[in-house]
Amino acid sequence: MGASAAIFGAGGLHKQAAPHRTTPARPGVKQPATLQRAGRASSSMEQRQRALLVARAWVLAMLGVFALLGVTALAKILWIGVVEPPAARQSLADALLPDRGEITDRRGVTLARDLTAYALWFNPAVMTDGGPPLVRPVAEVADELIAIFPDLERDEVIAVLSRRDHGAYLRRRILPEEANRVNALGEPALQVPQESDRHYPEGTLAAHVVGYVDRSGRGMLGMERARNSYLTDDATRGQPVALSIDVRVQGALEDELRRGMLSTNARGAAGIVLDVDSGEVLAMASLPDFDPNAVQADDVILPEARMQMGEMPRAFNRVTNQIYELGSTFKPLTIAAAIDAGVVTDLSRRWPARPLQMGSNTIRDSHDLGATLNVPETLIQSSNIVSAQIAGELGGARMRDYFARLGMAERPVIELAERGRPFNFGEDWSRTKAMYVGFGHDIAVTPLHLASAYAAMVNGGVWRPATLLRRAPGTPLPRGRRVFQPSTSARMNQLLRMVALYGTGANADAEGYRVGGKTGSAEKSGVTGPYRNLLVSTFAAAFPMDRPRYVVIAMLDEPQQTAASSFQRTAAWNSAPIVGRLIPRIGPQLGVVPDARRDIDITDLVPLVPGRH
Amino acid sequence: MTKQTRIRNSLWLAALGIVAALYLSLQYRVNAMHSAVEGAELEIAELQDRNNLLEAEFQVRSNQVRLGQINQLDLGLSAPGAGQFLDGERDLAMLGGPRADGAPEPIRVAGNVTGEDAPAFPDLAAREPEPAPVAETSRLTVVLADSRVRVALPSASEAAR
Repeated sequence: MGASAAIFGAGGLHKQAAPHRTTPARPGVKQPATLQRAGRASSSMEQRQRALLVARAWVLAMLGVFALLGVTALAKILWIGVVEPPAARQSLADALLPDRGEITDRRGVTLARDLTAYALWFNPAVMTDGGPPLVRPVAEVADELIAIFPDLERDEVIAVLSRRDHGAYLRRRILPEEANRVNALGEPALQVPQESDRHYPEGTLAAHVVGYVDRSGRGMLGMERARNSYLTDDATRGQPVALSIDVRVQGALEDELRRGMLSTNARGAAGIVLDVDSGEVLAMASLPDFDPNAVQADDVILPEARMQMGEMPRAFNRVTNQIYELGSTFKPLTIAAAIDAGVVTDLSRRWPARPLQMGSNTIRDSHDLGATLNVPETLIQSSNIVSAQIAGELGGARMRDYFARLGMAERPVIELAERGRPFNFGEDWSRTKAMYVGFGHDIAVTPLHLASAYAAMVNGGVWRPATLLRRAPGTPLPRGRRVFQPSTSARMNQLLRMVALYGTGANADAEGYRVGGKTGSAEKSGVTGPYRNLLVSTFAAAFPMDRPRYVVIAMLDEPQQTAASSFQRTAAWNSAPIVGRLIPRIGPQLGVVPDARRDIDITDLVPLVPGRH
Repeated sequence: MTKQTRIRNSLWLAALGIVAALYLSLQYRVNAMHSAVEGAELEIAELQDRNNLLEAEFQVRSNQVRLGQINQLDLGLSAPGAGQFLDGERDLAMLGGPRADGAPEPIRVAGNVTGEDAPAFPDLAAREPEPAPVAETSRLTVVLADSRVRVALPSASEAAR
């Protein structure tokens, strides 16, 4: 453009120069030869002179017009070439900036990104001659489209192609080859616009954590929703959001949960791996899951009839949104509160283990555990009766205070918007309420509540909020809230390890990883009261117990008795093995090296367990 | 206005004209370069777009669920056990040390190709003289399954003799 402007500019200059030199009435400088001759012969022929004058005037006028044109053209060219700013365009930085920011895991693996994709759009307004928008008959074009996209419905395609009012999508996402084939049909009304599209390379992995966006590009679930403003803000969307999730850990967790769920015919499963010190969530899974690349209507909303059957939509996050009575997994928290408050000072003290009459209800154990139990035995054999008595001795007010400080009075603390409100926490706790809560009944919380509480119990006693955002290395830990003294925490680590060694958690004891944890099998209360045969079985674990670093929770919703669970329904046989298989898979990746010669020192407590010393 | 002044003025005008022409041509070059840069940026953006597509394809093909399936179903891998880890230099040093008393014999046969299914004896090794039947029983045979080469090692008692 610059070169051609220069050529035109030179021509313009020439045109402009010519009239200026001819306009003054000074003949003979650069006039045509005929005019000069006419000038000399003017004295004799007046008429001729007048004619000449007229002719000269015409020439001048024409030259003036041309000069004006030339000047205008030159000015325009100069204006375009020198002055006018270039057409407003995207800078390279803008062009490379995604419409919506990327989401990655803690190591930089992409979980959600923008892609330029083709869509197939029918635009009836493209032909302006008033005739039909398609060149060929509608049916013929429809057949050719179906040859490219066999899953299109012929009637629907014909209906769309017959429209005259406004355009419509025939397909939202097509491949580049398909776009080429559509272009080859030669129909101007079939357009393949490039659109920015959200893509989730890991598919269903961590779908509940990452979430999805709707067609207008608004985050609808998970971190897409929670960080929507950050992901769309011009200033920040160039920087990816790094989640605390590790895809390897997430993959292993989902894999083991799915195996556990399928082998026990459970309705659903949930699991979480939490860093006990920083509160970072390394993995969070809720099954059944959904594919954020292709969200179906019934992933999000279910018909009333199916909800009545107890089914939840697949996009429902069971870890942060579903509340459960988590049962026996609360017993270690009760004991920790009692030790911390000084109610239990002697672990060898024996408590009566006969059924307790509580008004019209009776607190029982799953089977007769003997006449009396001490504290380690209570946890190892999971006695409801003794846990209730210890909670009763602690009293309602103190019990409530501990559980409130463990974060159970409010929705779980995490970035997600999908957080369930605990059920029946209440303001004033009677002694009876404390006794029921003591073994995990009469209160319903989310699995994330439990994970955060366990993290506080094993990490030295400080409760910290859970987070799904990666903590940059070197940044200080979030300010926590002290719940237990470090000595209480150390004692609980010993007790949890003993449960895994001698008690119901034996199936979770992965060799070398020093796992400690507690099972919980609670009856599910439905709309019509508790069903006897519907269970929620949970295993809450931490590892390695000599210096706890991670809490792992695995939960199965309504597991059945199958061969895989040795025809048992309790957590010891279905949830605990999930943790037992999971920890060896994730331990080395999380920096926990198995070592069979290392363990937490429990020698002072072993004599309290008969048959173990 | 003297003739000299006129010449000087016209010279000044000429100089001004030359400078203006130079400036204009330079400005045109600058603008031309601008649009060339713009074109290049457009191309970069397009290439980046294609890069993104390819990257996404690689990410999809190597996603964690698939890798997990390949590891478990195709390769049959499982998580390493505690015995497969070494804890520090001390463990590493002990790894190559002499066997302790009463430790089990190390497994020296790397394949199970014995008896009828044994592969044909390679020519090179077959030219070696056949050992006597008595000696054969007292020798250990190391069979490397892949290279199909057999190496006869003297047994411990034979070596002592």
